[in-house]
Amino acid sequence: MPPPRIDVALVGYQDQGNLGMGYLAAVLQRRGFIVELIEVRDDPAEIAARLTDRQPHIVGFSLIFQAFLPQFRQLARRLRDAGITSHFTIGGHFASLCHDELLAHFPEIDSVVRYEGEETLLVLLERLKSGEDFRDIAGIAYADEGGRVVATEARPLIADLDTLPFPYRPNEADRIGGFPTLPVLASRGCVRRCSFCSIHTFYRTAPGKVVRVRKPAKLIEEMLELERYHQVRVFLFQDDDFPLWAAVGRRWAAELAERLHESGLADRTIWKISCRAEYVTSDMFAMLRDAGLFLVYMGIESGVEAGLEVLKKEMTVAQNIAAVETLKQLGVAFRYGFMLFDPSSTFVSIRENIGFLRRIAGDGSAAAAFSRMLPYGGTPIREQLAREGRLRGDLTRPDYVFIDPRLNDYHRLLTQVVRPWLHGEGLSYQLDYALDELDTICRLVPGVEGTVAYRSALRALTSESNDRLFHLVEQSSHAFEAGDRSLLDVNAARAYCASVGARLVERRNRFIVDNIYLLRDASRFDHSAGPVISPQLH
Amino acid sequence: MPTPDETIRDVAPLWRWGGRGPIWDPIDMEYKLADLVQAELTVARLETGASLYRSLAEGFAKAAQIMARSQSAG
Repeated sequence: MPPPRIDVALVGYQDQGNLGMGYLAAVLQRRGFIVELIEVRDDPAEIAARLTDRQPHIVGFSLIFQAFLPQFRQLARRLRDAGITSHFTIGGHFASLCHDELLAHFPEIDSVVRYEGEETLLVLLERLKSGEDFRDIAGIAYADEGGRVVATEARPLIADLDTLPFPYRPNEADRIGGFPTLPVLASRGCVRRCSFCSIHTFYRTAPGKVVRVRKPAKLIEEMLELERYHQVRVFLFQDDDFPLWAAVGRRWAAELAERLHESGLADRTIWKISCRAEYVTSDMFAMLRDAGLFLVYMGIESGVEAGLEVLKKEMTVAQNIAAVETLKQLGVAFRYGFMLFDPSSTFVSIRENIGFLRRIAGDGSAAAAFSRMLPYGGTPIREQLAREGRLRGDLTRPDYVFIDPRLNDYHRLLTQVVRPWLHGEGLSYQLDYALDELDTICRLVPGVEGTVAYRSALRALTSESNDRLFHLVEQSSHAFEAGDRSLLDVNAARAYCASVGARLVERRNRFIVDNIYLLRDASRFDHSAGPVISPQLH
Repeated sequence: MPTPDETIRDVAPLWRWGGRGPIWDPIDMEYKLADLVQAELTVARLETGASLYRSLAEGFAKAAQIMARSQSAG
């Protein structure tokens, strides 16, 4: 029996359901095309074997970060070597904004789908399937026979997001503790112009309204469907900027909250958003909390005015602090993005930033986390650093040098020492996960015992870990300036984090065991809604 | 007496501690990049090491040939 036919294979990271690929697939499926989503980290030989006999019309690569370009190219080469002759296309922020650089470095690619890809990919598929020329389609770029890069006119952004079908979600939902969790989108676009971010360039380069917001009624419909078919209890809103801006945002939020109560979702589910700190007001966030909001992620990014200015955050330190304090008063958890190192950094600003982090997270309400700003393709700061002669690295690993050259060495050494806290499964992330899990349990499982004592223990552990990390940066930066590198001790950091991590797991498991039957029952699937119906049958 | 982890595994396995990251989306490229770079550096080091040994081996072989020729000529 021949393998089932597919029209399009979409390749990318499948973490958290990958909404981008889900939307693309759903739009194609609505027109009757067969789509398969492929995890890019699968064995290339296995991916090739899956596609060789099926020769889809298109293999589409969903590139979320330019750093992954070598990995995608390697896979594309393997697929070509395996005799796959499909049209190879690629999309995403970097591909859209740096299509010329990408085509120059990625000759296996036949076209780039630029900006929002749903409509463009559909037209591309129809053209290829009927054997017509694709090179005049709006919203693409390609290299012509002479190797010259040609970009067609940009396709307008989707005016009404509610015309899109709900995303295709063939994979099992991730879980927090026992509860399934999936991402959703309430809007697309961001009106701000942060210098390190390519989102605004992405949305402003294509014609059309930059920020588009879905109707609360449609959002509720999708959430109810996810609750019914995937048993989702925790929704993660992955908007570029959750649409709470100005009076129109407040009205939208009020309608959303009202509909969450009407539908019963406010009683059965909880949700997280990402937004700017300036939106956080006591009255609106109390209303959202009562409708299920339990976690707010904010891109705070810097604790000093000069850093906020370089990053073009259009925010003040005082606004960020006020937002955090309001959320703490309301009992809504917060997490934050923070760039301890940016192009304006000095040893003094590093320590000032640590002082800011102490102020917002010193009490253990969130784990300490920070990173270094990287100058991604399509961002204004990349251009600025290039003009200043400070841009370094290459296409896949963009980088820059600090004004104080000593900071280059300090950053390189510090990165290794803070990894036990800050790498993907580091102590800070473990602590935050435990805090998130506890919040989820408190909101979704009535009658759990020992939450006050466990929360207190968790916060004490988090506070202790934060203090250790803050102290490390403060002391080592002073010492480094004086020529002493001895405080940058990787082994001591590893040993400390391993020890606190073990205490965390021991305390967490004790809390779970104390409530185990309650938690088991609360996370049992409700099959009364019937079987899960996949929107596509292969 | 089972350990807490064993109890969780037996009674409510969904609640086993997974050692997972946070539930929001911390695609922290710096640290992921560091892993990537580290892996590439390791490969590069191995390749450089291998090539060095190859060069040395070739050099010794050539030296041995020259010496053999010079001995036979002598």
